[in-house]
This record gives sequence, structure tokens and C-alpha cells, in this order.
Amino acid sequence: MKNTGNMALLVCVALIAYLIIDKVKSASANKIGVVQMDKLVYDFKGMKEATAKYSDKMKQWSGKSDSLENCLKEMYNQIRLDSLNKNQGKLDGDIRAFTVFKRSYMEYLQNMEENAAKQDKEMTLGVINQLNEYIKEYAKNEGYDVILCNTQQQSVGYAKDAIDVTNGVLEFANNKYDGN
Amino acid sequence: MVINKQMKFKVLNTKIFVILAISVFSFACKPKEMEDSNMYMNFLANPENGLVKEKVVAGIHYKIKYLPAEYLAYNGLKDKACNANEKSEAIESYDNSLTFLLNIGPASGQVFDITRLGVNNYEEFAERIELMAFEAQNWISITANEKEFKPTIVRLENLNAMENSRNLIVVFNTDKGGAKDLRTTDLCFTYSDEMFNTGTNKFIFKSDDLENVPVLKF
Repeated sequence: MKNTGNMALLVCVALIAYLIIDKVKSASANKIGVVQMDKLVYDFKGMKEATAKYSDKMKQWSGKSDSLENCLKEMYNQIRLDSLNKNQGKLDGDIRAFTVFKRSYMEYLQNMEENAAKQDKEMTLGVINQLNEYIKEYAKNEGYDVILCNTQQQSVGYAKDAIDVTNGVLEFANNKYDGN
Repeated sequence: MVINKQMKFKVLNTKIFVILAISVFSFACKPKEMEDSNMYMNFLANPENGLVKEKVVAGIHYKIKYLPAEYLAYNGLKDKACNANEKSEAIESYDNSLTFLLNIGPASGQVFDITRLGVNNYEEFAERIELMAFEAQNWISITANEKEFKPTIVRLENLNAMENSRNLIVVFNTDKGGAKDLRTTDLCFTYSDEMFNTGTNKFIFKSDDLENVPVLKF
């Protein structure tokens, strides 16, 4: 009888100990998710819209550069005509105008390249800044302690598919981007 | 004879029910009236009422507030003695457009003046002010029924204020000259930032929220 009582007590103590250890363990376990940044950035609505906007700007700029190039070609043809006509006075004047115009054209091209690179950088930074904010918000809403961002450099060596939250974050980010 | 009477009674009952339903519906749809201006301001400022939208990106806080015609008329006339006719005229004129207040400032917990963020010298400061005052107009639009509208007025307020944030008053008008056309559908207010690398920011205003703003009696 005494043995049975002791056994019951032992079982109770073991059960309580198990419950306490389990609780402590689950409290300290972190909820971790992994995001594939390439896919997230590529499929993010904000990136798609920004890319379309950038292409439109580039088209405008290259349209202007094409028309300047045509002007330059016309000036060059005029110089050839002047040369054939042996009109030295006009030839000198046209060569001077051509040189000035060519310099301006080259400057325009250089500025265009610099502006395009700047625009590209700013656009990407804007998208990344937004995504960073949405990842934080998603983590808070879904109770994640850590969300790791896997990049092309494979900063995360291995992650189970179960903890890949790319699609969830993408859906959340697209929804937020739309203003909801 | 009895059947005819019963039929008439039934028709009468249906009529009464329809009239009651219509009156209850129209009463429920009628915007509330408010006489207390503080209560009205609190209503407009409460994000739960859908007239204020906020977003934080990269430490920059964007807050957009819809300013109804009554609010604008009240602000313009509160210190003047005017009759009911003048008040309704003022409300009517403001009602031809759609006005928003866009506030750009540091996110909570951060302290910096938005006009000086990333600015190294006076030249860059002047450029920042020029961008905020004159270029912001090109970065703002609203979309309603898949049609994009550009603002007719964008005015930078409180430029020399001691605050860390700055306000932009943004006014839209539709092609056909009425803001009411715009309010009949959900609106997407878009701000494509070109100053702080925060990208394109969209804010949805629900048509129901815009249509059911209480009427301020003043």
C-alpha cells in the first residue's frame, strides 16, 4: 500500500517535471522563417511598377538622344556638302557649330548614363526599404522571432521548406503596397 | 368579398412595410450631424474612421488626412461673423474639390528635421526645399475607377516651423469639375517619393468613409 502511494507520488513528480521542462523549452524556442530575397524582390508589385516607370523614363531619354544624334548627322552631311561646294567660309562655320554641338551631345549622353544609374539605384533602394518594412510587419503580425533573408550569396546554407515564408511575405507585401 | 378585404389589407401592410423600410434606410444612410467642433476634429483624426492613413518606410512617417469641405469652410470662417448663406456658399465652393493633408516626418522614436535629413550644406538644403515646394506636385496622384488624376494645387506649409515634419496641402479636381465624382468610388492616393528612397506609397480611402463624414453645424 505504502509502495503504491510512493509510486503514485513519483509519477506525479515526474509528470510535473516533464510539464515544467516542456513549458520552459517551448518558451525559449524561437519561431524562425526564411525569405528568398531574389524571388521576393522580383515578384513584388512595387518592383514591377518601379521597373516599368524606369523603362518609360529611359525611353524618353533615349528618344531625346536619338533626335540629337540625327541633328548631328545632318550637320555632318552639311559639312560634306560645304566641302564639295568648296565654300570655305561656310565650311569653317559649320565645323565650329558641329564641334560645339558634338561636345554638348557627348555631355548629354554622359549625364544620361549617370542619371540612369542614379535612378536605378534609388528605385532599387526604395523597393528594398519598403520590403524591409513589410518583412518586419509580417514578422510581428505572425509572431516570428527571426526572419532570415537569403540572398544570392546564399547567406542561409540550408532551411526546411516548412520555414520558408517567401510566399506569405510576398502576399502580405503586395497587399500592403496596394494601400490595404 | 372577404377575400377582397383580406387582399386590400395585405397590400396596405406591404405598403406600410416598404415606407418604414425606406425611412429607416434613409435615416441610417444620412450622415451624422455634429455641433461640437472638437468632437468633429477628433472624428476626422481617428484612424478608425478611415479618413487618416499612415505608413512608415525607412524611418520616414507618412500621414495622409482627408479634409472635408465642412472642415475647410469652418477653418476659413471660424473667426469671422457670417450668415448661413455665406457658410453654405463656402462649403459649396470647397465641395468642388477634394483636399488632403500629407504630413511627412520622422517615424516615432526618431528625431530629425525632415528638411535637413541627408543634407550636407546650404545648397542641398535649398534643393530639398525646392523639391518639396515645387516638385512634389509631380509625385502625387489619385486613382479612381482606374483613372489617374494629378493635383491642381500642392502647397508646402509650415516651411519655417520648428517642427520636424512638414505638411503638404493637396487639392484635386476632376475633369468635369466635381469632387463628388471622385468620392463615389474607392480612391488610391499615391505618393512616389524621390527624396528619401521610400519608393511608391499607396493609401486607399474607402468611398463609404469619404461619403459618411458627419456634417459640422457651425
